[in-house]
Amino acid sequence: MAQMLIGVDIGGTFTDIVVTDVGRLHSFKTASTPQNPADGVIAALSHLIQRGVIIPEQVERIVHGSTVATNALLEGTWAKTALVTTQGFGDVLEIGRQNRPKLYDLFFERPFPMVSRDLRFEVAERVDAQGNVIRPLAREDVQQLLPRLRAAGVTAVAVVFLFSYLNPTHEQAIGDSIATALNIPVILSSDILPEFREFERTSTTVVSAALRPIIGDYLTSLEGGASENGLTTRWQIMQSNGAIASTDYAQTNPARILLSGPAAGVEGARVVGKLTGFNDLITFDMGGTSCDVSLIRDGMLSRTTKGQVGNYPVGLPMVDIHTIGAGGGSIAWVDHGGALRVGPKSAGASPGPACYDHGGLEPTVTDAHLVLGHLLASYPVGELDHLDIAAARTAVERIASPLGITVEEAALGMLEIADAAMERAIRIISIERGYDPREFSLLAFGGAGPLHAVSIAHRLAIPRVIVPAIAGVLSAFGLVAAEVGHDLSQGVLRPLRECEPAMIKGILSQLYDRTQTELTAEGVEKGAIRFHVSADLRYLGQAHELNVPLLDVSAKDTEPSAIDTTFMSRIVSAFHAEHSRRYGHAANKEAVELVALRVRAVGPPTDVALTGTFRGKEQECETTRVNSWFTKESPMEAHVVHRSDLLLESDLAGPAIVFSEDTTTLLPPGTNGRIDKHGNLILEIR
Amino acid sequence: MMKDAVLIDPITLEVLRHALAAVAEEMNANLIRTAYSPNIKERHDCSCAIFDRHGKMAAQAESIPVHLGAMPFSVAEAIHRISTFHPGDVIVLNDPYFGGAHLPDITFIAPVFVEGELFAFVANRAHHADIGGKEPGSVAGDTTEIYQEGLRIPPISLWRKGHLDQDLVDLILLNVRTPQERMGDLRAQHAACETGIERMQALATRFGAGLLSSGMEAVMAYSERRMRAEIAQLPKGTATYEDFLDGDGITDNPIRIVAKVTIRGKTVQVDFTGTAPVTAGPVNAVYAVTASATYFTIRALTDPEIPPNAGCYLPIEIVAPSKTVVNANPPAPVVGGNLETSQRIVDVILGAFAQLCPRRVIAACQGTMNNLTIGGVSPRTGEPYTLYETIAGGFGARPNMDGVDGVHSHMTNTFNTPVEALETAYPLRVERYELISGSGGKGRYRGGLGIRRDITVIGHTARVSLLADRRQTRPYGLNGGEPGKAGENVLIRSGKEIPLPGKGAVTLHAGETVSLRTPGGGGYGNAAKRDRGAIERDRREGRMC
Repeated sequence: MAQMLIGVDIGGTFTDIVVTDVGRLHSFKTASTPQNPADGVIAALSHLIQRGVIIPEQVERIVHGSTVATNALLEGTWAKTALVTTQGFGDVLEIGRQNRPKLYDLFFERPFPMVSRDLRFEVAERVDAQGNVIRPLAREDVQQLLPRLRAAGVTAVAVVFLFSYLNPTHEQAIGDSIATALNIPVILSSDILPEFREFERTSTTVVSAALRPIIGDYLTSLEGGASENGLTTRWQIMQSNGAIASTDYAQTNPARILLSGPAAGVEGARVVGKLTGFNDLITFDMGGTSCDVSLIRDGMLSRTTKGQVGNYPVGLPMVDIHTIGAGGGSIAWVDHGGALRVGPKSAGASPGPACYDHGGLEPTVTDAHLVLGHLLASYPVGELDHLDIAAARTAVERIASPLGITVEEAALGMLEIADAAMERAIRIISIERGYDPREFSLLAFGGAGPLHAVSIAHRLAIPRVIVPAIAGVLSAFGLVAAEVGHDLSQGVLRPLRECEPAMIKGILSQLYDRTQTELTAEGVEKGAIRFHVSADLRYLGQAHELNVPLLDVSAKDTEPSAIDTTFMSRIVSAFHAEHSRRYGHAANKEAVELVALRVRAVGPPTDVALTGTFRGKEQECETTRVNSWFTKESPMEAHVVHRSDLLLESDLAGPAIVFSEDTTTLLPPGTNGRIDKHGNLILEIR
Repeated sequence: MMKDAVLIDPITLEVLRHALAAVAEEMNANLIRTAYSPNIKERHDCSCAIFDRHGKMAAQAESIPVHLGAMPFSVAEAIHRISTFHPGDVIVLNDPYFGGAHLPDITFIAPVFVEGELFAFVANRAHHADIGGKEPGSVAGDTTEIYQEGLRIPPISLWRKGHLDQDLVDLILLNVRTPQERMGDLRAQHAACETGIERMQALATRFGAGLLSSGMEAVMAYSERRMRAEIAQLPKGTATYEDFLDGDGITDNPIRIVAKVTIRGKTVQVDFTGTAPVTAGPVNAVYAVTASATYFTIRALTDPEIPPNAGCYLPIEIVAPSKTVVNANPPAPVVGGNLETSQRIVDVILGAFAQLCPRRVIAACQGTMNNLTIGGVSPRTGEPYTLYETIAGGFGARPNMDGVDGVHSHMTNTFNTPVEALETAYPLRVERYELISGSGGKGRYRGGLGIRRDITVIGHTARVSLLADRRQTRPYGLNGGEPGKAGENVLIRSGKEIPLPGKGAVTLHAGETVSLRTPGGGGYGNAAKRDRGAIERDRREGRMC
């Protein structure tokens, strides 16, 4: 029987739904209901069931991407939470790394600590740097703590003791007592993030604890609502690491789903790249207010464990996305020094660019494109049926006239400046991390991404731009295409020469066992599980570690004999090589420290196709032509074609504009492109 | 060819500004990631910059303000001393009297050649964990001559035409306590220079050498215009403020620092005439440090987004009489000038501005960096070790809100070393790391709280150096706010607390604890007007008694 996969991406404005059925892909957009996000989704799903698009009994999985956890964090609507720490360290959560966020701002404010000082409880206990207990946890101290916690009226408790990643017994003992006595969720740092750096571990654990009650309620109402409509399949959720997990698993640690939505977009980009034959990608998502860039190497998403969400550090693996404040709504202005600037102020969705005619008067990037004939006033964008070109010209005139240049010159200048900022963002995720952009393709999406992609690619000598046919629902597509995957880690923090192979084996087999148990509980067959093993390493005395891949094995083949002294020396040489690649030098004689071991266990890849996403026209249509500006000297005639009028497997040459309801792709003169068999635009840059 | 000036339009200006800033930032990111010293890696005590071929700074990436005004003097000295440059040359220096700040800060300067001609310089400066001298970590609080503070390096060519001078390296490494780590840091600084050179050459290819050269000029002129426009918004006038350092580490006599600030149309003058003469102990600041502190203060009071370069500072005039603690002369010891005196310089300039534009100015922050160095031989490995830390404290109250508790202020912003990293690497144990209740100055808006950090020596004998101020004098309050509580250094021996001096060195035996209690920030406004809810919250959370 045909199996349906459903992807539901709940964004701030729109909820996108993708349904795959017999290798065909259907996509839908509906308005989000931010007050109660589950409502809009259930209504849309129920509608699709009635229309017969979704047949409940054929649904194999429903995967969902959500900003609920992120919003709760950003808006401060988390649960009242207590924090229990080692005596003398209750303020670690607040002091953080003792730095201030802005160097020169005398009026800065710290992010509000998620647990106020009166809800932090210190307990006498201590484990040392070797994992030995040097001060036992006294039973009577625990007994005295319980009534104080109860009186505090908290609904979740986080427990963080020093060195618990080496010896979790104190955390476990007090955690059991609290859970038994209070019957509320108790989250231990040794479960959430068993790695060194007490502040980052504390922050991650507290985020997890404070979000747990909220995420639990949300997922329950979502699954309950779907089930009332006959959709009884258990839901899955996209995690920040770009892999999906069961809602049960997400609930135990909501800090894992903070980047759910953005991760789905990057995952969607990866899969489109794979299906079109490009596995080295820079993803470029430019919307109305911001621009997100990320790097995919050899079909693997870049991940970081040094991420922050709303200024709260979260030390769990998350897709490494760099965001800057440049979007279609970014406003141009002339500063006191006489330079033309673009952003960071944005016209956002309201009032929006001047050409939206919703009261915006200042010139935005979108207005510049309209003035230059890159966007067409007569073709609808989103919910607008036309754009006001006169308003756009008047707005751009506001900067052109004081600078004594033409409106077109000013508009071209605005785009060049926006491009310079985005080029810098891409340099940070590529060149600064040891990757050469010339070896990548730029995969552009978002409302404004494909307008800027060719120009950005030129600046960085990126040889190719890909604009997916499904650019508008790439995140929802990423949800159905992603694999199930769990990350676990174990902090070690010891010179590698002091690490016995037996110790490494012991840690790895524990991590294998735990991830395998979790994955089989999600319905993945044991034989289909693969383990990606990596290590965080650094030269002894350095403070920043590098993640180095070590092994890629099947769960059927985790023979521990592979871990011997040869393996240990391979770790060392892999680290030197990675250090050299990233930083241009390595110190081959220096001692290497093992900071942490990581296992990422993944299920089988989902077999999705792009077939049916886009049909194209059988024969060539009449194209219109428009005057577009690419240089300040004079305009050129550009072809204008609607995306749905493109012929599959045909060629396309700039100057041309390909537009659709989601996005507009700009092909400046000299750009040669091809529409592949799925309707993706592949543009060659030279 | 490149001499032809090209007129830079407002669009190209902004594009080149991005490009130049990106080069400096890329160098800095590279340096931070590849260095060995925790000072550089974890605490980002470093900066990178681009200079034109005349030595004018065109762009800078800095993580802490103490580097702001520092490098131009180094580059000027290097150009002055080394008349001919070749591709692959790298000039290295650390001497404060040759444009450095204090000896642990080593500066690298490398020429950039385009089409066979000297086109620009790239430079970087980083704080090394040790540069020799009388105490491990080279941050002793009781030196009386610069010779005791470590190895002095005048501008020398450490690399010539790409070749490392091994003799000079051997000379340097023989004079420091942790030579392997030093070499790692020197390599990282060299790599950062190479990144900068490659990127500048790529920019010259992309934009053309003539345009890029004019662009550097234009970016400097641009910063100057913005700074002048900012200053023009300040009220004209003159005001003077004075404050004191506790002592110089040798005697406890307060040391006067005074600033007279004059705001004219589009320029500001800061005049330190009347400041105490050079001291016997190491709190003397060289001129570059005084300039950094002044630039920091004015950036903070105006628009910190103005790109930092030579133009930005042209409208700021500094008068610092020589042979004073704000413009020291050799062989005066200077290690604390950069760390402690720089903070007090900010305090006095802010105090003067408070009289001219009160809404922009905050009460005094902790006014010290609480430098703590612990050195010894690890009983576990038999290897010598050196831990250097700075400790945060109270941030001053603002005209509209409380100060911030337990955070670094003004001239430093370095990260702490995680307790779990510290105890893994060193034979030490951190006993507590917490806010000190009641330490912030009272006021309508209260000052931020100081921090208590206690560290115990495990199984061996260690040498502890302290360089901390505001142990006698207190961070001032403003507009009726009370001063913050002074800091304390304490030795805990068999449960007994023994006071330690603010600056000096002491030997700790196994099981003994050094306890630093850092100052609170000053309060703002009359405490009687404090909001009841805020009082109640502070009481409930145990922040103020």
